[in-house]
Amino acid sequence: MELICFPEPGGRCPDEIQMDGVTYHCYNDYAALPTSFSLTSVFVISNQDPGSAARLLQALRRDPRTGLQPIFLTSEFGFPLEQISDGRISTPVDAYTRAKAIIDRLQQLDAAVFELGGSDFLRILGYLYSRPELHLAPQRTWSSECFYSYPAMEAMLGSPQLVTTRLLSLHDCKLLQRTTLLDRVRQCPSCGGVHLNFIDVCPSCRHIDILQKAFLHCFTCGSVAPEDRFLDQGALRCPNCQARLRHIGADYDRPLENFECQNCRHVFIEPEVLARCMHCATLSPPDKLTPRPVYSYELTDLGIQAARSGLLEDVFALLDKVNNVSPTYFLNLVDWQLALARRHSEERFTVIGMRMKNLADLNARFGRQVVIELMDSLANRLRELVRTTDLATRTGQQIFWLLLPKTGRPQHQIVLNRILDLKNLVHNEEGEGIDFETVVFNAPEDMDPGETGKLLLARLEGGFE
Amino acid sequence: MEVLREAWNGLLLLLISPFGAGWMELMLKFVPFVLFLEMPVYLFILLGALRHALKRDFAVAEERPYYPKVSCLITCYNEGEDVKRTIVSVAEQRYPGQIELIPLVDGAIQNSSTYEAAMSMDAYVNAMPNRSLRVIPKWQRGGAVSSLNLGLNLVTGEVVMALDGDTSFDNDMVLNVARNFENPSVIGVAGNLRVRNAKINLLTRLQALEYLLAINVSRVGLSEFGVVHVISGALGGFRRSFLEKVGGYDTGTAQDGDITLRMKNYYGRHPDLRLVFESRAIGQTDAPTTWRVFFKQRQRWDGDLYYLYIRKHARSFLPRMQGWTNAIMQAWTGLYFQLLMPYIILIYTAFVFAFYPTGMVLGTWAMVYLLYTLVNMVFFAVHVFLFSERRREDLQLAWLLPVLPLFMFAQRVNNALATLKQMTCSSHLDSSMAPWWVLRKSKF
Repeated sequence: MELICFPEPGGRCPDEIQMDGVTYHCYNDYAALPTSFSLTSVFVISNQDPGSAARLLQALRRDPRTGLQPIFLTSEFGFPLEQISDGRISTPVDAYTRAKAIIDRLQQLDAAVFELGGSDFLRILGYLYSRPELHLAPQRTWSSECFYSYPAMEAMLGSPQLVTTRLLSLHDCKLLQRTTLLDRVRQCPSCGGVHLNFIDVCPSCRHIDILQKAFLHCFTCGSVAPEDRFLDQGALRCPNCQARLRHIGADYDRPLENFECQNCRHVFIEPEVLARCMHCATLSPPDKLTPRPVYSYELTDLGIQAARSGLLEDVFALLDKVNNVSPTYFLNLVDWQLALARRHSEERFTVIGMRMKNLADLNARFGRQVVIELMDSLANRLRELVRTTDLATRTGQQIFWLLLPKTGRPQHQIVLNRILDLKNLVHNEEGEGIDFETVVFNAPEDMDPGETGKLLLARLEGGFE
Repeated sequence: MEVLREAWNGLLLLLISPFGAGWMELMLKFVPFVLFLEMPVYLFILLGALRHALKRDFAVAEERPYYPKVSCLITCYNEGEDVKRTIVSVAEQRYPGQIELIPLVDGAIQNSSTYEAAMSMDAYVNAMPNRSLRVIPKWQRGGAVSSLNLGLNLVTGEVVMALDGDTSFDNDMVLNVARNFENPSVIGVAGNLRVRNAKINLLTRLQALEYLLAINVSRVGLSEFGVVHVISGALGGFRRSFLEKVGGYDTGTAQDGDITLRMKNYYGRHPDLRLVFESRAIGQTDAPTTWRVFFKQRQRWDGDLYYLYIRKHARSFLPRMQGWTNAIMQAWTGLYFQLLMPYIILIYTAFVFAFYPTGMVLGTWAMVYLLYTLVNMVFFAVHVFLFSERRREDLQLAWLLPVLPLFMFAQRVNNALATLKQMTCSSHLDSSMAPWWVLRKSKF
């Protein structure tokens, strides 16, 4: 085991510790570190200053070569440094025993996990695998844009948004599973912020200046106004029809209206509630806010396998999160739709096929990680685009089918155009994206007599280049 | 037919030459009863009403910030949901001072719906500034008197109001009652009652009209000369210290007339004490809607009068008790009008029908009827133009003025029966106002 120590800036390295099988190094800062590390490196930050300790800790986690290694602190820094590190140690022996457990697990991982430019997915899986007692639980962070954060993940990947999408994808690929639903936060539909201020406003002009007042309702003319406008030398007189109001229940009563807008004088029973986002100032009604569940995660068996073998399930599995059904079920449904269309002339549906053309090429040029990221992004976009009644399946490695019931020519064109737009929307930093081709079948126009679902898909597949 | 023609001729003759021979004899026999005794009272009342109106119109309006704490005892029985209207109308008074609402539900076990309705107002009233509600259930029925005396032990206000659970109040009622007590000699204030359900049928309309003339104008006029016969149990206010001094309410029916009379009995010794009729303190009450219930109610009222004046408080007619004015006015308008006159009218009617030609009698009657209608019209005009705060509403009752004397005649007959019943059967011991085991305790 190699114990790498970071003392106080300008401070002295502590005396060498004599322990069997432990080598000892001391560096002043991150930049002084050598470029290669062994899997047995253990970092101890004995820096007292939280600012520089945080910088050091973040840098170590961010670096794929050191990110998964045990990193300990000697001072109590609290949240979030405590969560980013592997905790606080009091003695070198303590560091040794705790690091040993992690290092043993790290050694079981595939080398791909530690590669520079390797997959984020593998690093997350590796991190969780090496700390088996750890559930990936979100931490409550009031200053975070979404109230909850995964500090260690964020330090590793660099941005909270990336963590969110990666965790979602890992869950979709069944590499992670959700353990507990901890909370549900509502996000601004515009910027995703959760710092919302709920304000009650006038339902007519949406002005915030509303006042709760006592109101009266004149039976003679039906006017409803605040009580103070009815006061006339101590008695009540309707400001509208001048009727004297003497007897509650006979001349007037208290209406349900309770509020008056000081801007437009509108009188109302209940104010409208709006959520103002404290990040982007967007006003949105509460039902338009996006509810987001907050889960804690743990590794699945598949995830453990992937971490140890360094092999992710094929990238196409990512597509399976798009309203996916099994191919057999899909074929049966197409059969049924065809039968319906034959029997009822007004019945219409569309089948769209997609074939990815350049995955092998992309893999060769940019590596597996880029392909996964692109597929992930494509699948997410497709999911947004597909309606709840649409169904999808995957036959073969690179072919993806969509069944759009009750959608015939020319309405299918809208969906098709949006799919084709994805070619421009999904690309990596170099502007390279996934290229795909599409085939379209419209019932009843394109129907052949006697064709079954299986035959139909085979015919359409022939339409690909 | 012959009789009707004769009646018509007789009426015409009386209208054209009232002092013609022959008819004169009949008139002289009739006039003392009708004109000499009733007309002066009507004139007296009219003068008083006019004086009141003039004084009011020429007075310098001053609103002094005198807002004593008012405790309202609301006697409830089987009003059910209607009690909420009463409670809301008291709680919603335009009165800056404190109002303590104490609904007393008599027989709260059998009247649980009333009790629950009153309880349901708790949050509503107690949330209002300067208002408090405390519902008192009296599980064992004990009658209105026991409710009021119990309430008297609980009140904290300087002014105590006795209100009826089926009466709702105009929003300036408490203010108008309370401000009378700024004068330290005022010990009680009678409120003005209107009929809330006037629009239901002919009977309720007639009662509404009767209330306007009999309660509003008559009492304003009499009050102007310091004469107040009764502080109604549906709406009355008292100075608490004085109410406690007279020992609260006494058992038996007609507790309102009783307490009024007992207070008036201090007049002789303390001539400065006053009861006031406040025409601007208005309560609206539900009048009986069927003739049967109506006659029964009036029998109770009129019977109670005999019980009160003759059986219980005969001595209060001594001038040294009430003072001369009140003793005379009470003897005249109370004893004579209410108790004696119905008999005089009945006997007289029998007499003239027996000794004079029917046509002639009917003609005279028509004349008298016209006279009464005329008096009522004058009273009505005085009411509408000088006192009414709801002119348009009241004018809608004007078409009933010609029917009113007939209605009053029916009441007089009923009244005579009631007095007879009271004299012979002591029907006050069988009143709906209190259970028999309570009424039995009465000495009278």
